[in-house]
Amino acid sequence: METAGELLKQGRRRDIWTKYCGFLDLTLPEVMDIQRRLLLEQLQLLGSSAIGKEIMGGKTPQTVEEFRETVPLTKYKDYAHYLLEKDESVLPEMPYCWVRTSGRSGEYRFKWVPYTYRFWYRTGQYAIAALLIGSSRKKGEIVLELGDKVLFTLAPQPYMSGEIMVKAVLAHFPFEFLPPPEVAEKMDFFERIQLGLEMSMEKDLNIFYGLASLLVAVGKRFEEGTGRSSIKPLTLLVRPRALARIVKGLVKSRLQKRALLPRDLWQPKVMILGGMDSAIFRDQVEYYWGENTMEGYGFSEGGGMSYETWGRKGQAIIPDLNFMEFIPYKEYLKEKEDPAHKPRTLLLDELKPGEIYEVVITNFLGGTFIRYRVGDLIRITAMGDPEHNIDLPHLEFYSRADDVIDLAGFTRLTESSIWKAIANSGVPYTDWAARKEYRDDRPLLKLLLETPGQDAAEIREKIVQAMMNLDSDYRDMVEMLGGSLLELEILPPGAFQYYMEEMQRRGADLAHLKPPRINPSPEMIAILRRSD
Amino acid sequence: MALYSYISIFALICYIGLIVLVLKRGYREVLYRAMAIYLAAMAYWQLTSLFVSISRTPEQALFWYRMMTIGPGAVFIFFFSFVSAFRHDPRRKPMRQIGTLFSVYILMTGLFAGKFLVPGVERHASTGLYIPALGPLIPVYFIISLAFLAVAIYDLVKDYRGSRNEEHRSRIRYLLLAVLLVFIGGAANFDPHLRGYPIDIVTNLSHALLITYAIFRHRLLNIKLALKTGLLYSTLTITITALNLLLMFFLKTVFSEFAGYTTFGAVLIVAFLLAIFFNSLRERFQQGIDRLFWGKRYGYYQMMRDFAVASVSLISLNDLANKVTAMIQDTVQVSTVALFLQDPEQADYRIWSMRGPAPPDLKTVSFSKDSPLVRVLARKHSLPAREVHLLPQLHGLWKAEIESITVLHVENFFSLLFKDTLIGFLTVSSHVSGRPLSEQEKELLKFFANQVAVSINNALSFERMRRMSITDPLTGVFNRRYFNEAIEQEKERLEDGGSLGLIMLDVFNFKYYNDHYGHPAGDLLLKELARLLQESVRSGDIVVRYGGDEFAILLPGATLQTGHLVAERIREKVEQWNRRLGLKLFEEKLTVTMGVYAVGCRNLDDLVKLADKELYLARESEERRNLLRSLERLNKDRQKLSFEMVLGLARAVELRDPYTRGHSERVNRLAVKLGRVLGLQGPEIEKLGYAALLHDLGKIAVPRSILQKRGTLTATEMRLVQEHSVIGEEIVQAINLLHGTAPLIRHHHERYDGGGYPDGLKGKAIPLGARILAVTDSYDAMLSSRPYRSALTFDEAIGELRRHAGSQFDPEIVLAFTGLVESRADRAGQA
Repeated sequence: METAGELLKQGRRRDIWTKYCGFLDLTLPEVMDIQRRLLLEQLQLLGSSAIGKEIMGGKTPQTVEEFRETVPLTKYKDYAHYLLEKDESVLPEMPYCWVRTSGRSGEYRFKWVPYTYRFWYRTGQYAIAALLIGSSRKKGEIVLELGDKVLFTLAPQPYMSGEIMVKAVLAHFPFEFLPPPEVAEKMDFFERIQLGLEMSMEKDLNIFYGLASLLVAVGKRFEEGTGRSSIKPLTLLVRPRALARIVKGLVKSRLQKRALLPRDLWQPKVMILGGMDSAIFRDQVEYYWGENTMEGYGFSEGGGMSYETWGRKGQAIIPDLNFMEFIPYKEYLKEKEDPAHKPRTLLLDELKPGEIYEVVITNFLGGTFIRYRVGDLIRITAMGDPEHNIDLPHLEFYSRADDVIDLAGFTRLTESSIWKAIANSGVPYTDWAARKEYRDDRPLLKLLLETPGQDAAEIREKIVQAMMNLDSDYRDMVEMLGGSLLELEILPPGAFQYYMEEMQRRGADLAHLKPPRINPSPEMIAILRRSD
Repeated sequence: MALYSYISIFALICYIGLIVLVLKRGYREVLYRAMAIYLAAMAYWQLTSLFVSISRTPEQALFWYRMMTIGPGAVFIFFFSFVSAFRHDPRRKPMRQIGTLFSVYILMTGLFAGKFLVPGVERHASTGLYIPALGPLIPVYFIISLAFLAVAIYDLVKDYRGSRNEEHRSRIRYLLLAVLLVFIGGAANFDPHLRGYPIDIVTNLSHALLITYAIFRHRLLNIKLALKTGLLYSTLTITITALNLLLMFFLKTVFSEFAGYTTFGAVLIVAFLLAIFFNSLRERFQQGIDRLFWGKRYGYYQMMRDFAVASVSLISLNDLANKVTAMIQDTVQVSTVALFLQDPEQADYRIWSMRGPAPPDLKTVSFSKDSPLVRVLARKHSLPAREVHLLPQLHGLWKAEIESITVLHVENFFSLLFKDTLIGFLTVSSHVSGRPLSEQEKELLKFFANQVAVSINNALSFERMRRMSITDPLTGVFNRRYFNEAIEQEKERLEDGGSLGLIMLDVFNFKYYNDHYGHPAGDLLLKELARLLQESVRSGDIVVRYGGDEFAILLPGATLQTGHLVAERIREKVEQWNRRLGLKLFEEKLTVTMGVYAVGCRNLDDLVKLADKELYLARESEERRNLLRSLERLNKDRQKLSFEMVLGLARAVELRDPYTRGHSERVNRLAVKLGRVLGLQGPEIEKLGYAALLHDLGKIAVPRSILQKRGTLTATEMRLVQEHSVIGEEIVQAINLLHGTAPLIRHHHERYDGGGYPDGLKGKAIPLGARILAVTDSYDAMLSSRPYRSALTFDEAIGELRRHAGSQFDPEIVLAFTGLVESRADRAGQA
């Protein structure tokens, strides 16, 4: 199979686009056909594997309908006894690598997920597709170049980000990571970023993928004039390219009469923002770094799920990595009330724009997970983008399924909506966590905020106001109940830093160094409070 | 203005147009930006050239010449930049930057130290143009620029050698040709004789057009083909040009005083006249060239002709398929070629004929009709195999399908399309030498595939007609005619040893499905069963609809054990079907009974008889099993005895004799009504009702052949039949809740005059319920057809009852019964 790098060398740009981004031209019936076919192949593989037999009750469904009728929905616990032991003998296809992912804190220390070569390769293919789409302004335009520089900000192998966004991406396209993966893997997160930025002063920075909050933090440091502190002026004399970049950037910023910003130094071709904070910080990222941002959504158990396209109508769903089913939110709630209820699922062509669904996947290409509940809620934003001739459903991440806080039946608060409210309130903060609690049988939102501000009442008022502006249901609730149902606790300075250090002392996994923002356990809250 | 000026203007317009096109195509992409810069350098060259040509004074000409000399150097350097962008080679970036700086340096030299470039100009004697003298820096600049050009050529040649992609190689050939043109144009300026002619302008313009064409057309024709045909076609142009020049010379000589004869307008008029004159020759000339050119590929035409001849005489699909693959391999010299055709039985596309090294598991290489590859091929005439990994529509291909493509070394697929239907496709590898197929060869194979499709379609039609004659139209499996043919064929095979298995199979209780759900549902059931059978058998086994609901499966080479394995697989499939779909369509489960037998050569003629006997036995035991199941059900739910459960038991008995279908239910209705008329109530009526339903229960022990016998029964057979009332009594005695019905069942064949069986009871000694049953049972039997007689009319039946009142039947009961049925008949008549 020819990779994007090889195709580019041969000048076969149209072939690159077809191979990597051609899925955007598929019609919905074509997508459904691919889904059906690959599921039937997968069922054959599962039917002859121990893990498949165990989950499917020893029977191999012959049709999509039979599959959905007879195979139960699963969670990681259904696989844990094999996968945590990395037992390869039970899998439908020999894995090429094992990817580590963090479970929700307290659930598992971490989870292992096997990737077959086919699955790994195609996930990497879609990572390249994301870069191609994000860096282009229209279908078919290819601005990526061999040797483009990528800032290494992700967790290294065996995390999915390291395995896919670095190793699999490199299998398709010869980017240059700054710092190189073998160097970056030995460094801690902050050292890695520091060195990467320093190297990019000399070499350029063409691509970024990672957390939006990181880009904003770097941008703020530049704005405050501390961004260049790590660069010793004298060393610039022996680094003419870095010097030229700074001079060019300074001229640019002076002409516009403002502080030097990252966008004066670099013009990244694409910045792929993943994670919960993308929607919150996107505007700030574009202010500091330029406008070439895009959002993506994926998870270790299923590789990539969707990537944003030009119309910004949400993220177009990838059709051939997983068989996708969706549990309607009403069904999800019904099951919450009655655990015996078996929620029905919908297929891609049965979704409705505006509705919220829980994601259920079955891996294709020899993967392991069968009717697996990822634990995420998404909202379908559109069933296509006619303006750009895209017939694929578009989605946006809504929330972790367990992280929706229902306040008195009036409104549903998510990590994203609370975070947006805090950010919009203008209250300075380091970090936060929220939890649903009860006072006198009344539900309320307990917000724990690490902030330099002292006037809790004023801060609370600002946040309530921001929430009311963002969420009309919340506003209705405040007006009808005559109260905000928000309780604010200001955490002592350094609470989250203390938490991280405490977790490091306890040998926690990288992904569990921070408490979950929604519904952290009382023990976690106790550690945050202990910091003073 | 001189002719050269027009050429320059024309070239300039071309460049500006090209720059706009390139920028519009993708100004954000490095390749297009590099292309635009290169074209801009060319445009600059043309612009300065134009100003040179329209210069009126030596000073003007000198200035523009100095500016123009920057052009060739910059063009070579920017061509190098363009090549390195085309190759996406980041290692050439420093050299690109040096080149850019050098171009700026030349420009500065031209502006501020022009005498080192062009020290002066002199007028050309014949053209009247100003001719530059070359300064000492010009050769230096030219050599430096040539170094850039040399690196570009080196890189291109290296890429060309390293690439196996024909299109990529084709593009490189274009670029190399373009470089050659620039070089010729640049070098021409060093020749004092040629310097006065705009050779560089013409070659550069051709060069730019060529490169742009190469860039915009990603799928180029084979360069060799294009060049060869282009050069040959241009022979005519050269001839016309030569004649044009001769004519010009003549005009110049004869009309030396004629003003402006060298003007562009005059040339155009002359050229136009000549073009009209030679136009009639052009077509014939081109035909001649075509013949000359294509003559080298005479082998291909020979292949087409041979095939056309062969396809007329070949009707057998296999022969035709073998001919096609052989011709392609022999003529095009490819290592592997395979012909896939749609399998009429499984609707999959499988290899019908193949030449070249065959994969070990050739039989498993197939593509189902819903394979994405098949769908794509149905829309295209050909498909390069590399697109399998490119087209998103093919993302649904299975791993096994992709592996099939790999083991066949496919380089190209060629569709066999007949009236937009894909009847098959060809897979063709590269040449034996490893060289990829040329564009010309692909075009020819595409054309050949169209011809093949027509012939194959004819052969398929013939095959289809033959198949129709041996296929059962309802189920699509073979019919009995083919069964007989196959048995004959097997006879020959068995002479060399081995064995042949046969499974005879029928749907248990099929008439029930037809009666209860209608004939369309019965047909559907048979179709489904045929499908299940085909899924269950081994490849090579022959499924036949033997007649009605009976199927036969011939198992070549099978032993009895193998036959049982296949039968077990069928049983499992039927069970699965029942679980998945069966009960959604029918309330009853689908049950099949099977007889399995296997023989060697000697007793082949007995095979059907023996398997049929096994089927018979299986059917008998299934009937018993069915009855036992009903009894078990009754015993299990002792507390919940219901009419439906007893009815189920009665129906299990009736299945054995189609003539008595529904008889028990009808007798039940009549007996209950009659019982009520005669004053029976509550438990007595209930007992009578159950007894009526089960009165023939004992017939389960009577062989079906006797029950359905058309002729008179022998004494032994009669005895067996008469035992049914005692056997029925014994069965119900085992069921607590049916105890009370036992005497009624035992005595329902006693006669009023004492001549009945089994105990010869007489008159009122016979239980009342049994006497009622005797009347109602006989009445319903008379109204139904039997194997030995047809049904009686209502009046005849009533007459019979009355005639036998007092002898066979209790006269009081006959009176009450006839009153009951006659009043109902009256009401029905009045209604």
